[in-house]
Amino acid sequence: MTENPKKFMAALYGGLVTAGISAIPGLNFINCFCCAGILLGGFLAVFFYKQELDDDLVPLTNSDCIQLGVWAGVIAAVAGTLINVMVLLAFGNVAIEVMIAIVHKMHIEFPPEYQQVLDQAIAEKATVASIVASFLLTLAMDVLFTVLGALIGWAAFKPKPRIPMQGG
Amino acid sequence: MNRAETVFLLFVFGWCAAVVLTPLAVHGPGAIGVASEISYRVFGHVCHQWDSHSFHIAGAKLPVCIRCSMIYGTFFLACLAAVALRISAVESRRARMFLLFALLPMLIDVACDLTGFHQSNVITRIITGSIAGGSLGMILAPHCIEWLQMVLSHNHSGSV
Repeated sequence: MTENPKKFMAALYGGLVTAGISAIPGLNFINCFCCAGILLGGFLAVFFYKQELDDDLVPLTNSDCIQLGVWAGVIAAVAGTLINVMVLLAFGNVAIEVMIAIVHKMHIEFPPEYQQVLDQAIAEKATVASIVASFLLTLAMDVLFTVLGALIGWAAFKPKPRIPMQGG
Repeated sequence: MNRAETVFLLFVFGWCAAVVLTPLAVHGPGAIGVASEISYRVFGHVCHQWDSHSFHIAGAKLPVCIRCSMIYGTFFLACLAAVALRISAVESRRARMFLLFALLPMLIDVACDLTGFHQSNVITRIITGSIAGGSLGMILAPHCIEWLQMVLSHNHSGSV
């Protein structure tokens, strides 16, 4: 059997998908459905890694999937925070304002409590401490849910157990 | 029940207990009130927390919506059942079908609600959330326990 491909690239793709979903205004609404976007990152990391595995390689294992999930979560948290900070430094809290403008154009009314949360988010000033706290929270939740996503991937793509050949 | 099963069930139970205890602690003194506030922030990362879409306990909303509450609750019950009934991991093709069955009703409910085709309500959120959580618990519990067993036995043999 030849050496298995590196897990990093698969985790990078999965992590970047999660970071993109979490950081792009409007698209990040997907995460409101029980972290669907974050679960997807872990699932995709396993999917991409499985695509690179040939028959002559060591088959996918449970531990591979956990490692892929952890890496995807860490990458997602770092990339997502970087994107958020860059957007914040360049445009301020414009992401939320853009989202509200789009939603108003679509003639969709937010529930009053959500409108209140959005107003608070626009008014809030980002500090180094708040960014660090947000990063740590994002890291913990992203890793937890990408590992769960990766385990869903393992359940969906795990190889059939190999039956040893009988010698004649 | 072995150590891996105990650790896994305790973790899932702790997560569900945090959901229920958060609103009860909201008016608690000192550290309890602060812990409740932190809990709302943590769960806010994974749920929209709309008041009108949430169950309430003692006048305060749960930190996650009805759908998420049902997902977590039935996930825990399914994990308990999987451990008690010694349910083993299903083959991957069946798992994919099972996942589709688990998530499709919820996706249809959400998509119909967003497009205005049909408005989701408490009943549809409870039913679709329960199907998703219960099915995911049945699929994931054997894999989580298998992995935990591996980690715990590795740590145990490493420490000897």
